[in-house]
Amino acid sequence: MTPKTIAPLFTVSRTAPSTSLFDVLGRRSYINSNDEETPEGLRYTEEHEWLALEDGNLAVIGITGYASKALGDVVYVELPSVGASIVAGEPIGAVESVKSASDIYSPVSGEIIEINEQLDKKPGLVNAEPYRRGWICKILIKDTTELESMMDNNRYQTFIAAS
Amino acid sequence: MATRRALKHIHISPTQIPYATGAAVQHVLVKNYLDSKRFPDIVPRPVPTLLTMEFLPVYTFGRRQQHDEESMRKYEILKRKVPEATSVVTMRGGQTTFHGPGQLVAYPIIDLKEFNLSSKCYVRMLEDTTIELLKGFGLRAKTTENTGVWLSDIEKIASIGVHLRRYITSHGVAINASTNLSYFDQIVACGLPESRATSIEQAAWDEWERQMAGVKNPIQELGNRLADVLQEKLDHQLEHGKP
Repeated sequence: MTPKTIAPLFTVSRTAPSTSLFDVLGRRSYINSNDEETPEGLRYTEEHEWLALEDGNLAVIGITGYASKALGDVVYVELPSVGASIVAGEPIGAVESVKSASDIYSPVSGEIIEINEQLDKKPGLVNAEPYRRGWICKILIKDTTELESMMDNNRYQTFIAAS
Repeated sequence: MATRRALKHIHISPTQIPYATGAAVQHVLVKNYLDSKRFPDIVPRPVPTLLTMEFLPVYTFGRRQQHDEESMRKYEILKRKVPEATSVVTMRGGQTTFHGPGQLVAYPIIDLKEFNLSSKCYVRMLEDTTIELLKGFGLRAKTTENTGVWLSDIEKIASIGVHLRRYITSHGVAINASTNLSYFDQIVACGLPESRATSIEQAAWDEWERQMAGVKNPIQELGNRLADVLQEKLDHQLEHGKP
């Protein structure tokens, strides 16, 4: 049985000179300037992570504006290591606000291929630009069917309205 | 209308315990919750629990400090300077703190989702619960811009550090009752050099002595009272929904 292919939410050529999420998302008109609103075209988890499929099975992961607001000012982000193999549902790091540390979970299995090192110096980007420069890491997804269990923007909106 | 969720209070008694023991009990409680979230049909939903205890002397470091060279150097120094105290790095938020005899350590293990609480509001609830408890000794504690509970802008009576995993809380609050405060001289508690530690005994000696006269285990008694206040706060939260 062939796995159902998931159409990329937005694509960008990997040979393009710059493919940082900031550039990618920055070019998209659906990104609202208000970062608290959840962008269309991303997928979401109940733990308030978002995932953007960049190219084929390359995904960018971050935490949502709703989550960063609930946490308060982020003072530290514990990032995963590049090259680490991860399993869906397992913690890949943590965001720490003044007195609480909250684990970040990967919604998908795969390999970490890039982390947002800017967060070491500027953890506050998670609050200021959760969908752009506050991204956490990039993952090469092993099995894209795992994406099916994630919520689209509408469902996520309903989910946060109910919580 | 949401139904009341009774809080189960466990005080690890009767004596002061090593940090590792408390951590192990906490681990089991959190794991139950996580397992039940993962396999709701198999693992029954645990009861919200308040774990209280009194530790043997221990310095604990916050999660972010393990990546910080200077903190880790201090960790090594503390191990040598205060050999009777152990030093451990934990997964909670916040920075260095001390736990030891005469201090009530309280770890609520609850599902924030069940109580409609955000992490920020939960930390505030812990602060409010502590303030309420201290009122019983005639103390007017407050919060400042720095987390924790304070008697003045520089006198800290309780520290807070929380870890969240899928909305399940662990770690919590440490309230100095009759703690030997000289242990705090060795550290910059919670990263604030100008602050100093205080205790219920130091700030309200007469009340502490009066209320605890004849009480076999004052820290356990304080834990019982904290459990009552926390239950009230959680009931209130469920009744009134979003804070």
